[in-house]
Amino acid sequence: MLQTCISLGMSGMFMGLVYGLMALGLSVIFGVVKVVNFAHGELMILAVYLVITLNSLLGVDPIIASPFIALILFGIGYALQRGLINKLLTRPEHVQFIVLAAVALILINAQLMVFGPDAQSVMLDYSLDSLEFAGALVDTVKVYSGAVAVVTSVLLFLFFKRTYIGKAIRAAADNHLGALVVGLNYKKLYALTFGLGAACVGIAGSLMSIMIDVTPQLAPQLTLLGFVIVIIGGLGSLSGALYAGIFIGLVEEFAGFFFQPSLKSLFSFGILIMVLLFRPQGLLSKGT
Amino acid sequence: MGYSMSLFSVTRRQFTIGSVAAATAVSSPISFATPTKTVKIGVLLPISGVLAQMGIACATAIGILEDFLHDIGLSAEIHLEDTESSVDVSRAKTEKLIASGVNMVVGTFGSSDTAAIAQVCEQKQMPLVINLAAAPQITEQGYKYVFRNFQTGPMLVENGLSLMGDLFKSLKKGQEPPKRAVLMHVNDNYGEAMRKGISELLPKMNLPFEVVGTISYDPAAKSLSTEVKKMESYKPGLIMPVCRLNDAIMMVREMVKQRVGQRRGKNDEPLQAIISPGSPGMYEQQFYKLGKYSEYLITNTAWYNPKSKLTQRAKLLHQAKYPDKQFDMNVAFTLEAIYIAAYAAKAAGSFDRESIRESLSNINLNERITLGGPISFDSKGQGIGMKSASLQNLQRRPQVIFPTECREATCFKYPIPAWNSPERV
Repeated sequence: MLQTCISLGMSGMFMGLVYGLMALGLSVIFGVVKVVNFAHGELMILAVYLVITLNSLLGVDPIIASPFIALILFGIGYALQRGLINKLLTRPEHVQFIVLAAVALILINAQLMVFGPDAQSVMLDYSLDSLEFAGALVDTVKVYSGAVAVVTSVLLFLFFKRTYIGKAIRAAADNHLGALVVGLNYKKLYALTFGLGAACVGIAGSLMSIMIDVTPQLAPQLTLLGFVIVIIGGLGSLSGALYAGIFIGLVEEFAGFFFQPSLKSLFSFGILIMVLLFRPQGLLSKGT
Repeated sequence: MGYSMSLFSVTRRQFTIGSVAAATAVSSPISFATPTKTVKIGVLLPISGVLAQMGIACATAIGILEDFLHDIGLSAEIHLEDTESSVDVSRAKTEKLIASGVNMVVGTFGSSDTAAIAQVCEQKQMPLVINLAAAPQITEQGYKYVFRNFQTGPMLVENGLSLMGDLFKSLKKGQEPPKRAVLMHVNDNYGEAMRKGISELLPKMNLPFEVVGTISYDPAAKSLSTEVKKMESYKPGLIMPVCRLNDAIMMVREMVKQRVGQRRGKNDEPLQAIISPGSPGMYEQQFYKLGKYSEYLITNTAWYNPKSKLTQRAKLLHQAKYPDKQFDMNVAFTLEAIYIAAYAAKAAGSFDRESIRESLSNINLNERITLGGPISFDSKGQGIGMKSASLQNLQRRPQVIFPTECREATCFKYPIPAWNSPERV
């Protein structure tokens, strides 16, 4: 039983790190631009299909391709913010939601048209390998993916803490008026932020392509999962998103094993409701 | 009045004469359709949407239909419509076909869509021959115009479990039947119906194993990692998946990654077999992309009869037209449903709906493509005497291992070799 628990723990943690990276993108966008990206899961599925295409055409390993995919997604995110969302910033929030929901629908249907409804994933030489730790087995792809997710998250934190642009983005997020006074081009910063959020999704999508089978219809589930993680971690909290991702990964793994696997989501949403009732600011945010 | 006919006893000339006679006979004023030489059959299939994979496989039957029917002295004009895997679209397309003047309808894949078209056909008094749909309710509604040439869910379960019994009885000395089994099933309507059927029938079947665990999972599950971990914790000798294609692939991948059956203690039962008691997934063409890991898995399901002359002819035609596609139950049952429809129209001697309905009620066709006795329907329109086959994946294709009279493989593999066994190539 101990070996099983170790295996469950590691599997949940590595999966959770990728969930966390996905949610990190959502949290970055919400924390700075104050827009809830309803097309988050759809962007992630787009990243998965880009990786699959790249792999089938050139045989590139998704982990190696992930920076390139992140760059493409950054471009898409940047263009989306500059070309569409920036124009809606002064509009009521529901307008932004509806527009992004429309973007999500367009993306799902476009993906269905181009890639079809069949589940797809990338199969690599090591896709079916597993590593043994203290007698417990864990998927090789999950270990690699978890490691990439950690590296990406660290780089993102460093970017926000150490670079001039990162600090400017945080300043614009903390004090919009102050940012305008000191002459920051907040629209450009917002576009950069959306691009960064989308880049996180690009890397998370690249990693997902080797861990799970995806279909375009999976996108809304991933968006919802992103919301659950971000709310549990605390809206706008970067570290919160990452920790909550790991937490949800572990909860799903253990609940699925000790109860019924089909009840995994019940536990995630149960925790969400508890958080909303008793700690609406999120588990890792300091105040309401 | 019943009738029967050996298909190969009818020559083309005889049929031509018969057709002329039939065409003359269909000048009745009560006929809904304009009398023509060829019966117009509306075929509804899910060519797009979530069931597209199976729908497209079914549609390949239409590609070989003309030659197939021609060889046995029949003909049909096919009007194909896509149900888009949607109940509403299925209903609308049925109405469209009826309005366009078809004489009968064949379709579709999936119980929900089929239930919808059955309702429309009954309302419009349009004969419907169902190719693939297992929900028992469809033929329990008291419909007069609905005929199903496919097994119901309970029939599939009963036949599937019975074949397991045959397999375990045939084991040689030194081969042990499994003692502990785990049922892994999707938690949609189909999976739940199968689970219920299995739990009801299993105690009556006198099989050598007991089900020690039942694990349900979402058909849209992103990964089956936890499910497989839980399954392996029972240390079962037999794994019974009730799945569909995508989850079957995910399940096997996880079993390989988690080395299911390879890390058990001396006192644990070894993994003996993976047998689906009656579900799609493990015999479908896309499943074989798993390569050596697709080998030796067993599925008990409705299937075609490889020894039938009709099947052999159909397979040849299919192979010639679709060299990259597998001739499977989807093709076989769709082809057979259209064949039944065309034959019933011919036997009716009229394209009048009531005559065709009467003809279908009384049909008794000795030769069939799928496994079972002569094609006939009971008073509810449910096909009778249909059988299942036990298929083992051998050399990257499903091969019939039971019933023995239809066996394709020279022998079957038991117990299943370990995932890393050199026997797997």
